[in-house]
Amino acid sequence: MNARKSIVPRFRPLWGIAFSGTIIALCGCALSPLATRTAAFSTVATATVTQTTNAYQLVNQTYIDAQIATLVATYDRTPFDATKIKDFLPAKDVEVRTKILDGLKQYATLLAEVSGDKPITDLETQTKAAGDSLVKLQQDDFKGFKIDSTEKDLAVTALSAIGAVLIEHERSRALPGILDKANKPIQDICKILEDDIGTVGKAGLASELHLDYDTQILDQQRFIRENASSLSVDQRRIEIEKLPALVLAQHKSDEALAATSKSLAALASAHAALAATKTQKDAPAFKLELNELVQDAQTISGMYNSLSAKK
Amino acid sequence: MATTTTPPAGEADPKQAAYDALNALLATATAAATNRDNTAAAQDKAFDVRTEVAAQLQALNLAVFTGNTLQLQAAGDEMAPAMTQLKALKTQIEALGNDLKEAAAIISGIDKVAGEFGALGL
Repeated sequence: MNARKSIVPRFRPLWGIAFSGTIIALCGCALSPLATRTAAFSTVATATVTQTTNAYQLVNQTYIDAQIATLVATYDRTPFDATKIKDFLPAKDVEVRTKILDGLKQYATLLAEVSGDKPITDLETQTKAAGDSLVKLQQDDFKGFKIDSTEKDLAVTALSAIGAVLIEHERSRALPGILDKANKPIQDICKILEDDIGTVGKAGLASELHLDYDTQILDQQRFIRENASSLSVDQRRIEIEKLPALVLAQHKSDEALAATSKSLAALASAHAALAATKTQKDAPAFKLELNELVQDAQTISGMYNSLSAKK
Repeated sequence: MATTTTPPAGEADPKQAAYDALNALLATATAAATNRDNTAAAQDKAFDVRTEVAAQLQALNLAVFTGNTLQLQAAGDEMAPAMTQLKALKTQIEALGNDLKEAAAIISGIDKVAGEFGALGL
């Protein structure tokens, strides 16, 4: 016990110096600029993927709405055909896109998991618990081996910092290669999904959505014309009021799909910028792309929410 | 991977020309179907024509979507190696974290040992 008492105090200053030096050397290295950008990218990528899924749902729902509007307008002259009430997009083609979008989301989530703070904060929690245990030694009548709270804090910080550096080392070694490898397929995927949507006036989902609203508007006009004599004034008002509501919904839907298409293009650009700036500390080009992506994601989210609220 | 729906720059897209022609026909039929100067029978006829033209346009809209599926599947398959590496990196980081947690647990285990020595009066 006496021997221990004589040795431990001599070590204490060395512990302090060693830990302090380690901390000075390692602090501030926890998250690399690339890891920070990767985590930010994954957040907005996940939002874009969600909005693209919403676009397919909107196209399918609006197509069904158009089929119902036609059924109502032509019911007296055309027999009801149950096979016409179906999604516009074939299930097997949607399934492929669902898998691709899930894959993109998983890619974004994994990027966030390996790039974010969580592995390091988990480690800090564990080391802090260990440090607290060391301090409790003072209460155990084991006077020869004491560690005070300053030393404990230093030990905990040093162990956390060492862990953070090891984790960051693994990340900086592997992430650039992964980003390079994923870049081409992500560019291709985004381009094809953009092509799916297209623009109003060219073949694609944007035109289909616009056409289905046109059909609903026309069917509604026809319903009003053909039932003019049997509708009360109030009923007629209600039916007429549906026309401008459909026109406004058409405008919003057109905007939502156009914004989704733009967002997919921005997602591709942001990933390209992420891969291109993998070795840079500051990346203004990436920040610009990301800001655009964040704005797009927020805009689109609001659009789909307002459209689904009206359904 | 480029999509096949877009022709090379400078070349007119024959599909687009057909699409434009169908859209023009749709507009004409829609105008006739809603023109109150037309008889009800003429409006009904125009409505039927519009329905036919709309079906043609829908087929073209759908063809873009279904035509892209194979290319999309191929692009998705190309993502697989990057995904595998990313999952491996996650596993590596978790293993590293677990090793350090284990080290921390061993350090905290000293508490118990020291406590037992203390109880023995050592």
